[in-house]
Amino acid sequence: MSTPIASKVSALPAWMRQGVTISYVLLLVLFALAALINPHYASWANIRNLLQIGAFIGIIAVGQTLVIITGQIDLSIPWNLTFTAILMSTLFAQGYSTGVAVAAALLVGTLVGMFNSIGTAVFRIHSLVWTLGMNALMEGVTLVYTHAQPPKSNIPAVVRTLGAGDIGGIPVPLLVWAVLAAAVLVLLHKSRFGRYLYAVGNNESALFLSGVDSRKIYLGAFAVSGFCAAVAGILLTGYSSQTYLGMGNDYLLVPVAAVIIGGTNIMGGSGGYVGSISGTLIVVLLQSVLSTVQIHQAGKNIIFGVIIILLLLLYGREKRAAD
Amino acid sequence: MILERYKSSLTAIVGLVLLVGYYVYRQPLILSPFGVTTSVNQGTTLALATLAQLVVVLTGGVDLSVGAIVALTNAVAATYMGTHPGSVTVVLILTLGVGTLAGLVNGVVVAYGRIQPIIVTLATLYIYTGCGLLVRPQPGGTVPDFYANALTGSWSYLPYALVFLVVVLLVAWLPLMRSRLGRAIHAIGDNAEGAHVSGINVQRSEMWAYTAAGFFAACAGLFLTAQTTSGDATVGTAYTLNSVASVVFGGAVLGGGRGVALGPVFAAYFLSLLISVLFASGISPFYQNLLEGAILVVVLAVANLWRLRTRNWLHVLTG
Repeated sequence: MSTPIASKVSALPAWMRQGVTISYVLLLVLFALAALINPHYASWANIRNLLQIGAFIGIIAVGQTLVIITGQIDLSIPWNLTFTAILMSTLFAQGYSTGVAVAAALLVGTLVGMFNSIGTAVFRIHSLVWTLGMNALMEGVTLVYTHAQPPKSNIPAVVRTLGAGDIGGIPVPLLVWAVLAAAVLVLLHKSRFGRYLYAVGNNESALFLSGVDSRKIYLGAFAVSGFCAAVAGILLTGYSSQTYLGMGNDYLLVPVAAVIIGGTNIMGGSGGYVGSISGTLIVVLLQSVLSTVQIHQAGKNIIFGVIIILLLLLYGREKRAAD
Repeated sequence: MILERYKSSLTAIVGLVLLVGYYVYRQPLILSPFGVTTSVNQGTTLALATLAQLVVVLTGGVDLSVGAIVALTNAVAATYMGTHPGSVTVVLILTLGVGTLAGLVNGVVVAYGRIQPIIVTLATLYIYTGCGLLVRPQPGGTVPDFYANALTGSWSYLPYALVFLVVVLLVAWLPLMRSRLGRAIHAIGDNAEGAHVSGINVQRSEMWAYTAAGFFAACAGLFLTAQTTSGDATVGTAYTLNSVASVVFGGAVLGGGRGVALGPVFAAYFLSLLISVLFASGISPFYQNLLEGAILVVVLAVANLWRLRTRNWLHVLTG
């Protein structure tokens, strides 16, 4: 299928054909378009708002990027996030200190992530299936824990600040995102663990033969993903000043889409977090534009799905078997 | 030869037989025509959705939109069916058409768009759920009694649901698998490059596999409509996950090339019945979600326990 467009793209230098570059160009084009249609988009207030909402997706994308680089996927985030958030606010309501409540949430989130890697790395069940199963399991755990009632909202002041506060005009979630993003960039590109992540995604057998236990690499990637889900859950709780069943429902496809749009290969082995940042911002921008258009939620679902596919058609394509 | 082919189905068959045995021991009343029919009805939607998932899994892909297509076709059928036999027939064909079209869209994007099936069907999951909600924002709709009875009734001990499933298997599944396309589907899942070199049109075969999946998902949606006598656009989520679980537990290999319908269909009834058995044993329905999730995770782990005993981990890695 060598369409005229495809052959034109191939004429560009290699660095311009990379997913990361394309996604940043796309982000700028989309932002310019949005600002042209509605000048309000270019205002600092709006950009600040977009970045704040983007932080939640971006933080989840930190873990999701690591997992996808290993060639797996984490679909347990929605209910992992919901359960850890509810656990945190319930513990606080029961009289535990903020520190204990937050630490418990982070610990449980990480443990769920580690459990994800057991199915994937030890039993060798495709993470797609296993993490979806874990998502269902965590939904059940949440319903039993809350007795399927809307949980009592008692949010620690510190968490409110983390989710909704700002330091010098910059939203705190954005700062948390920046810290985690910097950490994951160092982890991916400067550490041995980062190199092993790519190696697992490229050729697990070769990594195993060179003496590395690939199961530990999966363990690390999924643990980070679970940890990030818990962080996002805590920040979201502070942001919306409440916890509720289904608060994680929007975070199944969206972070995966952000990572893929950022040029990370869903089959693993290539990509990185630099792209995921632009992917996150593209997704947030799209969501924001869609939310200003007066259409039913069902219509938004459809449009969002279609846009994801169109973006992937633009540059997420694989080689043909014939090539 | 034939036994070898169906060996992968053994776990699911033995599992179902043991489970039925235990159920009958605990609840002898289940052996009434009504009991048998109810149990079979509960599993048939999943069994059909599992067939949909299996076609795609055989090519080496996975279809996360199966549940959404089931829900969409369920919504379409229950909304437009009416009460007149004529309108029912038209809507039946329309519903099958909608499901098949949804599958075709998946197939075209996966095969000719050359995008990973996981992400394509995750996106179409949203699209089809959205379409279902447009058709039917709230659960409801009208389903005539004669339609519901035709699919969920029984003739003494023989549930019509089983007849429906066997008809789908004989009329659609077996001819498909015995056809040139069926062989191509297996070949692609086994080795796409090899299939291409042997002169198989990989892209076209993949496209038709997803289309067939849409058709089977629509059959599941039609049965679900008869079973619940209403339409609900959000009912699908569970079918996606459980269909994948049935396929895996039934002995088909995620990654493609290997699997027969027998095991996955038994696995589908096993998973559905397991839930009923647990609640018949007096566990509060409150724990339903937790148990369903736990069962799934345990079943998947047990089906793969053998890996822990392997002497050479490299064999596991290279599969």
